Amino acid sequence: MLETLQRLFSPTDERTNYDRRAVLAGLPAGVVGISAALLPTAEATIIETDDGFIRFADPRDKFKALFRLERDLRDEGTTVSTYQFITYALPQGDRPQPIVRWEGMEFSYFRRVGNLTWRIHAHNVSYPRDLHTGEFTSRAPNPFTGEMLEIEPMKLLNDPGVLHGPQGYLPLDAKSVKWLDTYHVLRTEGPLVKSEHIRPTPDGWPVMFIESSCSTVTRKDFFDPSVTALPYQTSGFYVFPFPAWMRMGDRPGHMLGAWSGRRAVAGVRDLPREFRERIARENPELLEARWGDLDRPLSGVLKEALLS
Amino acid sequence: MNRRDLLPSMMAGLAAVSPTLSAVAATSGKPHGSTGISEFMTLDPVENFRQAMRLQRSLEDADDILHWYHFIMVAVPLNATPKPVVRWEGIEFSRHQIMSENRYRMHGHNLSFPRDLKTGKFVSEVQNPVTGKMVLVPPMALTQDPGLIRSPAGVISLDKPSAPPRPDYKLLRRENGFVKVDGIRVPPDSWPATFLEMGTEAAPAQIFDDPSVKWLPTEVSGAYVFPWPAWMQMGNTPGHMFAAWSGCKLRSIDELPTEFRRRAEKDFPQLLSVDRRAFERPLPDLHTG
Repeated sequence: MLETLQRLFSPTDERTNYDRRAVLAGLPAGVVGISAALLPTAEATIIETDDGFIRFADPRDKFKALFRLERDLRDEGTTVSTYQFITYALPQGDRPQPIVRWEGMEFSYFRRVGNLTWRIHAHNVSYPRDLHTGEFTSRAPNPFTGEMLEIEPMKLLNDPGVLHGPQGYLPLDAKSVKWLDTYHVLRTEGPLVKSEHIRPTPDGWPVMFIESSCSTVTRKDFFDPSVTALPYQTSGFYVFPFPAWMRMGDRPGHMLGAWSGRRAVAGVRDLPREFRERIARENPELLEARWGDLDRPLSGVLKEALLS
Repeated sequence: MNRRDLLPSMMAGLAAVSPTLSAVAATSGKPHGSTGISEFMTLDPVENFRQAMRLQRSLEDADDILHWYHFIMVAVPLNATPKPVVRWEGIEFSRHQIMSENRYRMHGHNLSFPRDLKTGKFVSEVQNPVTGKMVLVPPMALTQDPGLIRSPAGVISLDKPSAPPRPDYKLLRRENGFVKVDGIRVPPDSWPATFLEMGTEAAPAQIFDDPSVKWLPTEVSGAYVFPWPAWMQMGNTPGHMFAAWSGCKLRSIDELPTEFRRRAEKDFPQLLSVDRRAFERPLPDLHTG
């Protein structure tokens, strides 16, 4: 079956005559009369149904699918993603307006610290770009106040880190063992598999915060167990409070960012040239994994979580 | 040429970052010399309009354009944690007809059915995560769009045809194996203040670069902001809804997923085609811009 799927969805294959339903279900024509199919991969049993949703017999396999999409199933690894996003301001009662475009990367580094549990640290760097020309910029007008804003590059370097396993996320600064569950659904769209993931807000984060993404991979890669880190295209959004640079004072409302990007499969070498040249010039140390973060000892709470 | 015919190319675009490359990089420990492509496309306003039109719709003088997607609605109460509410599966089905060079008239509709967030099954009620109440969620059949005129000058909404075109935002860029257009839809003044729609549509670069292809297969993602719908029963609670979608452009209703099509045929058969009578309505006071 796996070989059939790979042949059917190989980018180099000749055009096929499979009917649309067969393509949607990922099965050769003639097998589609059944309502659900069990698709074995190397270690998992996946239940694929007529409605396009992929279900797993074992929740641990579902977690592995997620981790393989967003990180890498190897014991130790790095993941670099590159993206562009536009931030919008949404003052309460006013027409939302776009403010500025950004180009950025997330660089994460992780190590397996327990059975199906990884410790992850990461940093993000984003540079503002003009909405209309796409050129790097350091200024943008605030359409609500008329003020010209000074916008600095965004460098998120103080993420405390997190444990990620089948139970969810546990931030490394957690004061108690309270895993944060996530919303995660996998579904098929023709030759593609889409992963929709809504992440929780850890304690201590802004109240008005949510982050959600939809990542797309090929069925060929998804059903190939030798691919430990799936190449993806991704889009998503996040909601967050007005940042200080927006100078919105006490005005009620919030910001929204919507992104589109991909995994940089070859790591930082795969970053867009102009972005990579700038970061190499200004902060070359951020083109390296900060493995030292993983050497910091875990708190008693975290050690307890790993034992449970 | 339909989406199925073009699947190998769609795959090639996605596979521009190939697992083989990943595997080699992982095992050798040495990064490859490749650098990702990310370039803004510098086009004059007319060409920018035409290429955006080609990505988002098609460059045929007259064409039916079908988008199919899933989207998740999120409640965003002021000063409280946003919460997902319900999943939808839907279509936007529209038609355009050329009026003059690079000027098109469009009419269309949307149809979406609610699905359970966790199971994905069709539902008719969900729990409002803000109030805790169970609320009835009807299918969404949006058939009252007045239509619009699109040209390089912008958009004229046909509920106010004499108004000048409103410029809209469309920026095209190359990103490895894809060409993407980032678009922001500017709503008419008559729409609720709390409204915004933005999206990205991506086509395989190798197909985009063939100018003989007027209809491009695209993956679409995007989001929109809108006021509380009545079915949420939010009263005067400040805040709004937000929805993010992911889907694709299809060539015809024959490519719709079986379950969705079956339900649409049963409940809203008239919405599986575009009502062309809208194009017969005269526009005597249409702005010339």
